[in-house]
Amino acid sequence: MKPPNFQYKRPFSIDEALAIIDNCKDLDVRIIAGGQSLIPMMNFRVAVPEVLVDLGAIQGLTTIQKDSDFLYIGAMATATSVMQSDLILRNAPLIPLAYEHVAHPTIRNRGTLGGNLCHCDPASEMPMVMSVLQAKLIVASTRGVRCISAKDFFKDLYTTALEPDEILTQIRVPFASHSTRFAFEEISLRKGDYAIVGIAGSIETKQGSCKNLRIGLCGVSNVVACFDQFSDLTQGCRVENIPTEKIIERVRSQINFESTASVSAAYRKYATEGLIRRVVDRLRG
Amino acid sequence: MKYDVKMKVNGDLVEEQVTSRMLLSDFIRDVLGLTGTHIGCEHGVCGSCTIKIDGVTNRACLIFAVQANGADISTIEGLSNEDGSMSILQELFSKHQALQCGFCTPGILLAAQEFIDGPGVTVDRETVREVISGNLCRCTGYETIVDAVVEAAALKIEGEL
Amino acid sequence: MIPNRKNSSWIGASLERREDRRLLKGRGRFADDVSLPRMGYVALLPSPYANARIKKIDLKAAQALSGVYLVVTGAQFVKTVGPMPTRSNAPVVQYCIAVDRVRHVGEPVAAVVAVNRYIAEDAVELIEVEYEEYDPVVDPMASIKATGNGVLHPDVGSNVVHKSEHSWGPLSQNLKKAAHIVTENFRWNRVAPQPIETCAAVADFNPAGEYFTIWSNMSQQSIIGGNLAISLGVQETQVNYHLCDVGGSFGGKAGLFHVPMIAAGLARLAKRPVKYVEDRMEHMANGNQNGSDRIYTASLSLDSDGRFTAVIFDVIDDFGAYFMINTGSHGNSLAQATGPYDIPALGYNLKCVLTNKVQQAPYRGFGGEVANFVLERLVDAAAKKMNWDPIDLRRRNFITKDNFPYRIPNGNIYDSGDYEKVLEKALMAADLPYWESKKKSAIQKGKRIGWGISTVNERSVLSMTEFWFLDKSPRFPQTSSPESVQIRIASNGRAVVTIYAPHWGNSPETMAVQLVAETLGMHPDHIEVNYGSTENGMISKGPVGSRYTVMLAGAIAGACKKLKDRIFTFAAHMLEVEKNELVIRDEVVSSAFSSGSSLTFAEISRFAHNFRLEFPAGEEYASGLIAQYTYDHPLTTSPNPDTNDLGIFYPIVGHACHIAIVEVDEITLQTKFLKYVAVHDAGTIVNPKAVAGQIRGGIAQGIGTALYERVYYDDQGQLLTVTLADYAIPTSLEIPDIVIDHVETPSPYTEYGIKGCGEGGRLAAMPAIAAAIDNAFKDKGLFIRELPVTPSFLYDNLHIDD
Repeated sequence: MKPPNFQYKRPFSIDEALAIIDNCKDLDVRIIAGGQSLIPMMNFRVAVPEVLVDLGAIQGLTTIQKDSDFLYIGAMATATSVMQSDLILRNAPLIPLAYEHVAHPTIRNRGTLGGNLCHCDPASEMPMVMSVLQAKLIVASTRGVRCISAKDFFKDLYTTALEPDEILTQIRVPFASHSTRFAFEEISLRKGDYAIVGIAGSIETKQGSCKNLRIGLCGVSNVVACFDQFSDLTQGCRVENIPTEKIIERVRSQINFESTASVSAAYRKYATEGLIRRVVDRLRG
Repeated sequence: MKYDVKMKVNGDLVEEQVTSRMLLSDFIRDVLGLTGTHIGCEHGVCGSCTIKIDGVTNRACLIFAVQANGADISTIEGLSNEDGSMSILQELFSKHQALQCGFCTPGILLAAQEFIDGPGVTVDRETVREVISGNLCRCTGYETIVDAVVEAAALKIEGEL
Repeated sequence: MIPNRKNSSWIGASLERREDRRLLKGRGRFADDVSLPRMGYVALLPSPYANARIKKIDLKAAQALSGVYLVVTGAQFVKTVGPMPTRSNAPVVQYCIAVDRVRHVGEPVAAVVAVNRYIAEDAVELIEVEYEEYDPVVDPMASIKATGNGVLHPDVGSNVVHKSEHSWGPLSQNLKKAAHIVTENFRWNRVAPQPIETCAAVADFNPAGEYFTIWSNMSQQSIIGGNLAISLGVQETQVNYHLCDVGGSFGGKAGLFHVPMIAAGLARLAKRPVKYVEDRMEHMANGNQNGSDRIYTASLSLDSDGRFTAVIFDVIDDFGAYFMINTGSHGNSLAQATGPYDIPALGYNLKCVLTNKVQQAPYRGFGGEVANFVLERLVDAAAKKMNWDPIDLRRRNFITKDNFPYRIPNGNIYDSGDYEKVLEKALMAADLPYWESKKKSAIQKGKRIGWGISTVNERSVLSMTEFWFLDKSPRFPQTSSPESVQIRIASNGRAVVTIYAPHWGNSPETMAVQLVAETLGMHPDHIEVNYGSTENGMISKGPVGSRYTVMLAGAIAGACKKLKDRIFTFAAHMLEVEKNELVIRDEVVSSAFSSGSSLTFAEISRFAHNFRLEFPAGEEYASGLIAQYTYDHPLTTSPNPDTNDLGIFYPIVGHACHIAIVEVDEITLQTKFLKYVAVHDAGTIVNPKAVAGQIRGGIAQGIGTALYERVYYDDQGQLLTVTLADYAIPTSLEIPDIVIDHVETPSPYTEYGIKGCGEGGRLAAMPAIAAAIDNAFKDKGLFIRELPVTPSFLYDNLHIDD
């Protein structure tokens, strides 16, 4: 299990990285961030890039900052650094909550948030979490910079909205107001495995009534799923009265549960219902 | 095409030429001859190839040697005391029989040492289990590994390590 | 010889392991650590199909790649390397690189030797193969009826490679008279040992003398070396096999042939040393190391008092594409088929079938764990059906401690035991009333608590007859399973022990040190241990079937007896006393009668090595202090050819009681352990920590089998579990701390009364866990018939929505 050969590029700035990509238009170019998903795929020879552009030497891509509206997380920030960030814990507690379920400490030391999002595995926690948080993804190319909402970024299995010449540089996470509640629940066969079912939920409460319920799911189907069309069910509702069963029904009806070798679709459905119930119960407080 | 790499490995300066695709695990074992770093899966699950790069543990099978250019690396061979005697953690592994075949052991020692040296060191068994959860051991059932790490953590907290 | 433990110095002491220091420093020597000048690296082209004919292979592009030394097809390789050794009686022929036909996904069809593994893999991608695909045969039931290209080995004629029916004791009478008969179906799925170190070999061929030197992690070198040599087309004296540290085997590496054969064969063809290390994918798909894969219908009959009167097993076992181990794993199931219970009649009807999957090999329990699972499940089913307490039912049927040695219906013997005592200790430790009292409050939190018990036997010290005694006309009815040791006292008085089986995660050096220290009255620090290669080696069967410590103890006892005689011969002359009045204490030899002078080992050995003229003429004073001893199995007899008596084949029998207390989350249906108690009786214990380590490790694998692991093939014979992400070996977060206790009932047949203990954890774990999950869902009438009990499996079997 050895990877195929490739040209290795180690740019020191985003501009240099973009120029390399531009110069290699006819080649299969892959960006490598932490490489914790890409290198296994290369070792299996499932991914066979001709050029590998390593973002590891670019200054500034690992910083975690905030202003009054957003958290700014550099795409190359490692899972460990995100989990240990006080800024993130205070302003987007769902992220570290979910990261507890992602792989194991050593993998998290090198795996990056940006790489994880670009890999776009629907069983992975972070794409779903970013969708629930309505994060914005900043991508750069020689054509300029654009901002893509998480909802639009995660297209399909292993497919994002990134164009071949674009690099994800930053993740912007809107501040959670103090009245926003989060919950996360996951089942995996072993702790740290990809989710069989993972559910993230968030809801904003104001003087007891609630709005903007969002439920994200990972592991249950082929796409990163986030549902936010609940206003008819939650409008004017006090948070402790939100109609759990109707919410479950709405989510369930929109998912095509998949069977895999060791997990039946029936169990996925049962467990999804159960975990949504737990998540909603948590959100009720 | 070959790439020049220069790094520090267990304190020694190393300068070599590598192909882009050479995994750091193969570089350490086959080029440097440090065979204590073991290869169990080459897809990042088993943890046998765990080493330290710039102070934090990494899977040596999930990084190319060329990416480690300029890095400060330590492997199992660098874990013992300066005089070659076993570190307290190594001694505790021996005391508790925290290994049987010993193949996963170098990776587990490095993961455990990172925890002992880190800010979150505690004697809580569940935390220790979490710390070594990325390192598969097929022999011991983990309990004696947890015993050894917890005892080392206690010494660390008491300031005796 | 059963020692008075009060006088034991070193048996029973938890010494730190002799193996550990080098391993902790990263200075072990595993097969992949061996490197030779000019060495080439091997990569293999795996078959993408489960069942196909190889029509054409084009090697040109691969051969032309820079850095490639050699590319060969199976058809070319077989000209110099014959079929793999096999115990199959059919015989089912297997090549280590496929010739003409592939029979499972991952079977190699061509091999490359190149300057490194990277380029070797590049070359593999350039090999073009044309296949004619056949319909894969995946389902064992369908395989039985398969015809045409569905027959894997046309020369065998059928996919059913063994079929036999056996009954021992008054089977039909007892079934007829029975007050109750419980009959259940079980499915035992494939799991695999998956050691963290895959299989590896480095081989060199010296054309002068046509001599192979091999380093590998196959673990029965001296016994199997001869077979390997036959396949390589040389005499066994032309193969020297070096022992390496082995990164876990659990049985799987015992009969591992293809890896050293491929390395050796390619080394000869490439005219350079060659290294072949399986990657994890190859190990999964072509490791030849899957466990049993069985379909059971099994019945237990009882009289009106709840006494077991007969047990009968109908078994179909899917061996995969080849049949290397023959019916060995069923011989093993038969070693303790009636468990710890007094059951006078036994039936066993067996069909071994081939399918397009990788073949089986031993895995910790070697079929014994399957039989234990089925029997324990039958006992639980009987208890449930009759509404009896499962513990009382077991107790009522135990063989009592004054009934040993006990002969089971098929002829095997249990040497000793005290099952009641083991059970009592386990029950004390588990405190079941406490857990029963917690059940109600747990339910309110959405958790179900359940407990389960297993009381099983732990046969140990393998003999060889189990591999063939079910065959009508055995091809190679081997009966030897020796173990050897050489001990010498160096001229400085230190002992050097040479053993001939590898360290594979057991503690052979530690055992040798403690046993020699005990037997010779030496301090462990004055004893070194090394390993002999086959070239200068004595015969050794190595560590399989929980035998090594018992066999080593026998060999050491024999060698020490000889060595003591040598020491006394020299000392008697030097001290001018009679030999028979000499005694040894703490490496000092003195007369038991006179309180006069004494001599240390160092003094005696210095003379024995250097001053021949100080001693009289005569052979007994020949220089040096060295002794060798080969110990044969302490108690095994020949089976009766008509199989109505299988003879004594696994007589050193320990016992274990496991109690698992689990908590199942009603929403996630994940199972976690609240407590796990394991009480074992493995006879006299040499090193308590090491024994506990074997028990814990076995339980961890048992938990894997019970809750997490399974080798999945789809209906096209494609392997779905090819990574360690898919094949779920438990991590530290899935395995609980285990409460371990021991009973020590010595064996009357072994040195010091030691019994084997390498497999007991896995021999006992699965039925206790299954019973605990049943118990958690008692109200739903759950009865586990298949493993692993994953959350999804549990959901699908509970029919919660019904």
